[in-house]
Amino acid sequence: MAGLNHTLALKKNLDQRARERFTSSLRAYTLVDLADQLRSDYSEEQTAVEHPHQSGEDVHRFLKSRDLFKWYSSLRCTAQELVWQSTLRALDEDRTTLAGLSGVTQVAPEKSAVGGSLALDPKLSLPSYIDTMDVHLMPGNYQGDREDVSVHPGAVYDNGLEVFSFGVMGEHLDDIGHSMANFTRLRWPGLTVDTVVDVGCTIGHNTLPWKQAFPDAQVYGLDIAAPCLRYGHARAESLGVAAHFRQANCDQLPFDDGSVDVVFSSMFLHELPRNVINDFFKEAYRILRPGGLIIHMELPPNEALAPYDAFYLDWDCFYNNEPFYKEFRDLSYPALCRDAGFDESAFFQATLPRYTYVDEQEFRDAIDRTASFDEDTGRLSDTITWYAFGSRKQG
Amino acid sequence: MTQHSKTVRGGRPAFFDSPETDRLLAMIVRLLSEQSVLAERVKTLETLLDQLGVLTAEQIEQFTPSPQVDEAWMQTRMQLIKDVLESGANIEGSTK
Repeated sequence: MAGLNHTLALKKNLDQRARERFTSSLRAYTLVDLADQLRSDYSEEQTAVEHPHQSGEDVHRFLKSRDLFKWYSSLRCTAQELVWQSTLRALDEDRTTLAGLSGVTQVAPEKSAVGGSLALDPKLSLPSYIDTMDVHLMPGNYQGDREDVSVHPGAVYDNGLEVFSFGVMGEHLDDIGHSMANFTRLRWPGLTVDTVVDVGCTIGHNTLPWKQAFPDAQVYGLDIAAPCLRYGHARAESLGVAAHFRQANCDQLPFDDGSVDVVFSSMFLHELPRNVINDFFKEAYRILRPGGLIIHMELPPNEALAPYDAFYLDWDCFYNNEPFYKEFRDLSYPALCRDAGFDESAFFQATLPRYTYVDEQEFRDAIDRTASFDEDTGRLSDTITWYAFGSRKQG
Repeated sequence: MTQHSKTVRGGRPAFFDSPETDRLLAMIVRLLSEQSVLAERVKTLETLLDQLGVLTAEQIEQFTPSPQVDEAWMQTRMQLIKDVLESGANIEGSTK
């Protein structure tokens, strides 16, 4: 584990670094070795059965009482808790790195060394569902408490994600952003990209790659969690990338009608209640200019997956405090786009290798192929493929 | 020192017949984590001692405690075994 490569990275002593390496290894063991064992155990049990399981729910019901499932699941939750505990300890002990970042609410581009900005909205009304459950078992969630003026939740997320991802999500935990931005660049070479809006950006780790892929564009990162945006702004400054962070709800995007070229999100929709997803799509449609692109990096839909693979991904819904996850994945993604006003024929989906881990030709080849779904689609491992879907606004 | 809360709103689920089993597993994993931390600290020391020319890896591997040291270590080992294996002996219904 290389550790975070920017100036906001928490200082960790030898034991803390060793503890994080352990947690990363434990996660890799659980999510690769044990997960493979769980799958092969299931396959053996299901060989030659008269009525094979038809859905992820069937598989889940079957596995729930099996010892290996309990073992795998309990270990996975424990590893997840260790991710955050090691980070919280580092945050308790390092009182200098993040000092001075608290309380910032506005930074104008001319005050930024790289031309980025921050605009928080203290009057913004936050939805109540974010306070009922700490997503991903992350203490404090993304927003901390309502009065949190620190950057701590952002730091917990950034440092925790580094441990969580056991090296498979890119140098700056930003491979999803690079993969999606470069997919856009290569698939639609004629697309004008002057304004990009990343909605639900948290700390902006997947926002900045859009500025790197489209250096002339104005790139915005939106979220409701002020501590993450505050941290994301400081992180962007540290990495020398100009991005504009805005506090806003996804169902009320602060952009004029037809003023945006690309609306992007990553791993965001599955954390939202259904009605908010619909409202977000309508807002995205409103702010896109004719010909503009909506692109979501997400988990693949259940309808595209074999029953076991559907079960495997839905595990997080039941056991990782992501209550809307399965309901989202049960939706028809083309219908979501269509219902927001996008033309049905403009729907696209893709399964892509990780841009920063392969050469550009291999990535291009994947763009030309039809999306294909297997056990690597969306499953965090060193062979993961990202899934994306979206549409273009007609005109 | 202010400590950030480790409480998770919504809790985390248990999987075994008794949640205590999940808790024991979490404790064992945490101990394993600390074991790994200690092992890496020892390896760090050995590597630095070797690099600085103070001790070689070979010298460390060849080390044999003197009879007096061996006796003292044995006492410590026995105490550790008792401390660990006799923990919980007062729990009603448990193996004495």
